[in-house]
Amino acid sequence: MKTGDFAKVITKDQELSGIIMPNSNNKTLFLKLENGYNIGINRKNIKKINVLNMKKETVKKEKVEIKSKKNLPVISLLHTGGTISSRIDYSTGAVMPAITPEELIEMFPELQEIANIKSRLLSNIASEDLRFGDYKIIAKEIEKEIRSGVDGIIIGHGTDTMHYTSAALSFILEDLGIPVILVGAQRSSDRGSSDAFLNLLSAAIFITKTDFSGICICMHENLNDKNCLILPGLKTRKMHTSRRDAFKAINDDAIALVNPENKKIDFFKHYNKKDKSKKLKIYPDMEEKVAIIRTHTNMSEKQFEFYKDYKGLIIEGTGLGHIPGGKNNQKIVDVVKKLAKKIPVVMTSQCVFGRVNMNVYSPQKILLDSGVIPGNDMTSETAFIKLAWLLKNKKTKVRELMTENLKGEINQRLKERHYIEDEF
Amino acid sequence: MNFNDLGLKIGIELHVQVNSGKLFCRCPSNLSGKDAEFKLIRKLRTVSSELGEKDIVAEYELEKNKYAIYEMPEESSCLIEADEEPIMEIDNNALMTALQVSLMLNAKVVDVLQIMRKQVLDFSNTSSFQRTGILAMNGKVKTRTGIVNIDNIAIEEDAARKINETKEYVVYRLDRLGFPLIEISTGPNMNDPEQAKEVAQYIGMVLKSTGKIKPGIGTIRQDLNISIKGHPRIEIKGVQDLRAIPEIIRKEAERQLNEVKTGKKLESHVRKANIDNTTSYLRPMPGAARLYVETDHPVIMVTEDMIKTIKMPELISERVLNLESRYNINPQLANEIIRKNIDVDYFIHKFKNIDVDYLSHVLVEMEKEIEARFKLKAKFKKEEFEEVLSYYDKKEIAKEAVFDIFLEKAQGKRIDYGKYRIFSAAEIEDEVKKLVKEKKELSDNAIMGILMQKYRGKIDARKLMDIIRRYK
Repeated sequence: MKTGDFAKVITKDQELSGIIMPNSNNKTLFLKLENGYNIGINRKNIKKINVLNMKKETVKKEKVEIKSKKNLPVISLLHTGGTISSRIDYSTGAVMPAITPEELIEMFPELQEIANIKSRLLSNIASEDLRFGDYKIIAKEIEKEIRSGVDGIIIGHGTDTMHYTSAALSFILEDLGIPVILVGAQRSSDRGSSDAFLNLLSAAIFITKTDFSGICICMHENLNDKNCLILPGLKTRKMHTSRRDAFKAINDDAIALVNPENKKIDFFKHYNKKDKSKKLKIYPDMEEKVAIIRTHTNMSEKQFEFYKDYKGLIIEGTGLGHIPGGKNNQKIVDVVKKLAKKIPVVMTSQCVFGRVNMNVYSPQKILLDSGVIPGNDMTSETAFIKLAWLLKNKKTKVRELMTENLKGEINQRLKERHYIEDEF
Repeated sequence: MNFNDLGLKIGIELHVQVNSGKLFCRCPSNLSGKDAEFKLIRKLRTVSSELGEKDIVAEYELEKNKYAIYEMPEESSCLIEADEEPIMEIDNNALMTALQVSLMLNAKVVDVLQIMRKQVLDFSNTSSFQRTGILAMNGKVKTRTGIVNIDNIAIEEDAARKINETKEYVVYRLDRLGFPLIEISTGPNMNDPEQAKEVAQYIGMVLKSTGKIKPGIGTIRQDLNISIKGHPRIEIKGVQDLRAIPEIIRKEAERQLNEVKTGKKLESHVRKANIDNTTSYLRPMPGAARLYVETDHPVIMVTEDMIKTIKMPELISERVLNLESRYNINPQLANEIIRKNIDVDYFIHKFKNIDVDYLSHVLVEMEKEIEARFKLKAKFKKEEFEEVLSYYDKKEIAKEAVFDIFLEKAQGKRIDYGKYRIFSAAEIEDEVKKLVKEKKELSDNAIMGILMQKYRGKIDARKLMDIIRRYK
């Protein structure tokens, strides 16, 4: 008896027929009844199982043939995993990646009308499992695709850490002449209501209809299946656990709004123009021993001491960039001062919106004097990636460059609109 | 028509709303009358079924190429209805009620409940599927014409309410989405239209006996599955009135017979019940394989401990019989007392001087009578019944005054009980004596009439007659 077999299960008080399901374990046998419902049967209650039909190997479907169209641009779709390119096996409920161009076109046939799609799997891991080494893999694959002459790249990515990856690629890729767009989904594509399609379609349209180049994120504008925002790779953050409009620009404007239905695109800021003659260089190395510590009330200096062997530290302070520094917390201040002398320590704010300013309150001025670097208006995530990248690629100028705007990670002029929209 | 010769087969599916919070979020199960604070625009896409083909019904609905506008009333919906947040754990009250119903219908409860996603064919669920799970199977209902099988008892979420439809879009309101439903499906082993009605009635009575079913019209909906020899199964949706069941079945059987006679190739499909008990075409029959696992909810162990906590309520039918025999109340009154959930024991115990029949009559009929005679909507609270009846119980008002006082209440008047004070015979003895002397020509009844104009509702009519007779 194995998963997929059709069996008759005789229990102490009834007979049940169905297909044996893969989530069965040694306590419970799960059966898909003929009406399509699954039920679980306690193995203790089973008297006998008769396999009536062995699992039928599913007949491979005829493949959709993809003809490339000469006049269409080429988009390369690189999959790193996540909800965006998953499909469900309806018989088992298991979620599997849909990677081949054929599978993708089958799921999103409209893409064929927009571009010739090349599709490849780089990795299939949840985005929270990504490591700096994976950014390197992605960067190298982007380099490969650009060399082959594609007009744009879409990276299918899990949403949880999509903004870390977009920040990393922003520093790693130098002289990028085409758009590289990270796309995710908050609802899996087995649902008719999945946001995957609109996000993917909008990204493809944005690539083919504009002369934009650079790293960005493409996700829903709001809860409507209508427009998608193109968001700056260094100034974006996942701000909601589950909404399809979870990604918001932080301390900055979105780059553009895409309406895939009428293909109208509105730009909100200046951008680098596409230039396929540019020669991409990649600097993919990043320092492993960098961390983020979040301050809170009731802290102990031991929490900071933990990082004494690290090469860099982001402190996500409270408010304008504060750590506990009053009379009772002098030990904390001493430890941080010591750390800051040894390694770059960068202050960001857990407020997320707004800029760090360490000149306002005196205990923080002491930190500033002892070398703590204010993270300006960078998100903790962007500051973290930037620090790790500088430590490997600009070793001698880390402190200096940390406060300088290299790729659009710092915005010197915060406007009224650079905050949560007032809905009322 | 001889239904046996026709090979008539009938099955029923009942859907009933449980009176608890929503099944997979913590919103209340309330319909919203006012305009929604927020609206969503959504598109749906066909997704491949487990056979790898796009479902024919999914295609059928979506080829209309519309978009949906979802109205999201804040009081009755949250991000979960909007498909913007994963579901929470199942509402325990709804689950326990479904379990109770399963046991009452003698069904075998599953060891482990697995919530499934059932693909839907329209915009009625924001997620594009309905969450549902089989809780029990193989139950039985005894009818006068034999035993009917209950194949499945499922617990599931209700769909959103369709508010409007145009050529471009469909409007749904998300208030009803997620209401807990119990779905009870009988086997197709009924062959008599009257038996189908009896079964629907019996199951409805069992459901109501739990006291946990949402009251009101439309909270129990039934679908019928009907076929005759040579005709594939037809599903009829939206049968609201139980009494219509036999006629709908007869008309459908007749329609099927006429179809069979034409010799055309016939297809299984879904029809909807019309007001005149005929049916009309709705859509093709959905493909079978449209269920897969709801991965956002853990499986639910139905433990012995859970089952042990369930108390079996006395059936409404038994309660009616008990009440009849306990107080010797007529069956119709007893039935209404139970149906309206009137605590008649409390009143009988409290007002020992009032005759049980009259007491029940007041409790059951007073509102109806006022409504019928004076076209006044009357709804009295338990305390109001208590107040009026306690005056009558203490003989401070006459029986005739009871109706007048309730009428005044229905009219919104303040009651001056002094006005209804009962007069003792002694108080008006002199007046009677005088009247009898003056109007010697008048009969007892005529004198009674004169006096009653003045004292109606304020004196015991029998005692008054006694006095009149004494002085005649």
